[in-house]
Amino acid sequence: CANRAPLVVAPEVIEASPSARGLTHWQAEGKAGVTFLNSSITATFSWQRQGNNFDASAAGPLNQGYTTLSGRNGRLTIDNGWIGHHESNQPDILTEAITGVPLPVDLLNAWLSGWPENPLTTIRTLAGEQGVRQFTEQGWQVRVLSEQVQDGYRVPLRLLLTQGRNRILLVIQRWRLTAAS
Amino acid sequence: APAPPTAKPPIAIKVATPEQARQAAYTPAQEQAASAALAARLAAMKTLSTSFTQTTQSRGAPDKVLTGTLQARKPGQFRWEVKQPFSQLIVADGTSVFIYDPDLQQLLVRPLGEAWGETPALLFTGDASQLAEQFRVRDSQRGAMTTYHLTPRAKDSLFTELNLSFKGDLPHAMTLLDAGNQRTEVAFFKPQRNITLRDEQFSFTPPAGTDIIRE
Repeated sequence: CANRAPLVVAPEVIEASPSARGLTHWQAEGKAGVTFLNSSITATFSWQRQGNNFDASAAGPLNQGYTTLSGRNGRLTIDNGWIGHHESNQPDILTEAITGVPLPVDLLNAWLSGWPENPLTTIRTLAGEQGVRQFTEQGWQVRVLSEQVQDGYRVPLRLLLTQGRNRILLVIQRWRLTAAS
Repeated sequence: APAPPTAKPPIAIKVATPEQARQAAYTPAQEQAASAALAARLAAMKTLSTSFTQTTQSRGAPDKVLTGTLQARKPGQFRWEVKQPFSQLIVADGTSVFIYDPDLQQLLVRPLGEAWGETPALLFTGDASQLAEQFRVRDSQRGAMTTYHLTPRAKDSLFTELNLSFKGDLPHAMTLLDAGNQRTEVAFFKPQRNITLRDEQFSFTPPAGTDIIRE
């Protein structure tokens, strides 16, 4: 549709494009399908990386449950009309306390670009229907199911995060570099 | 359905008016009358078909504008389809709600609860006599526009206030406010009331390969 950035999925073009790994200033927007505690939601999300910091938001249909997250020097702040304002220096403990899901949101700066946060993390290359690559960090398996080229860089199109029975499927619809502030 | 005009939807300015002062001193009898008046309007609307523009205002973020269509039919059936800038489909067949996302290739199926607080579209298809159980209702008039101000009785509702405006007998706009002061305004374009709607509108079969999650 008119507003969505052109999707380049030709394999050879993806292969030839530079990876987004290590890029420190970009913005992604897309969809999230989250399954946890026998409940499921679909939401739209936006994520903006600024160095090691980030600003993010997510909301369900009719903007219900609109939530903002911001990471500043390892400190996570969550704001939601229903549960209010919360902060912590231990992001996964805070997200678990609020949602029941111990999601290390501070690692999403790396995962959303399709790569592990720790350079020493083992990466398994996948093939065909399985996807592109897979790795595990802090108990979460991260699988890049497919990639695309946006703003000249190779970024994930579909990303599956699983941990026990918790499952987060992310589809990145728009991705662009942003200026370092 | 015709594509809605691109004009920016009407945005209400929050200024304390004498009208709002009158609202504060609402008596139970007035609330009951407002609830009954809204229930009568909703009961008289067997079906609804309309385009909509949904505008969301959030602190420090640009407005988010979606467009789509809504068909609703009593009892408990509706089709809420977002078309731009992305696709999303919510269908209620009277028993279950099907939330289908083509980008995620995922379908959520959950029982159609009675909680209108979670699914505002149910206002147009739910049992209007239950309105007073779920909301405190006040009304206000401005020219040809009647607005009903609904405050959910449930403490865990996803919004703190829902305003539903009618121009004559036709729904004109629906505004939702949540506890974080996020404001979502749904403006209805060319609404049609009590027209015949096809059964297929209110059932949904996902494409092959869709992840189906049942709750």
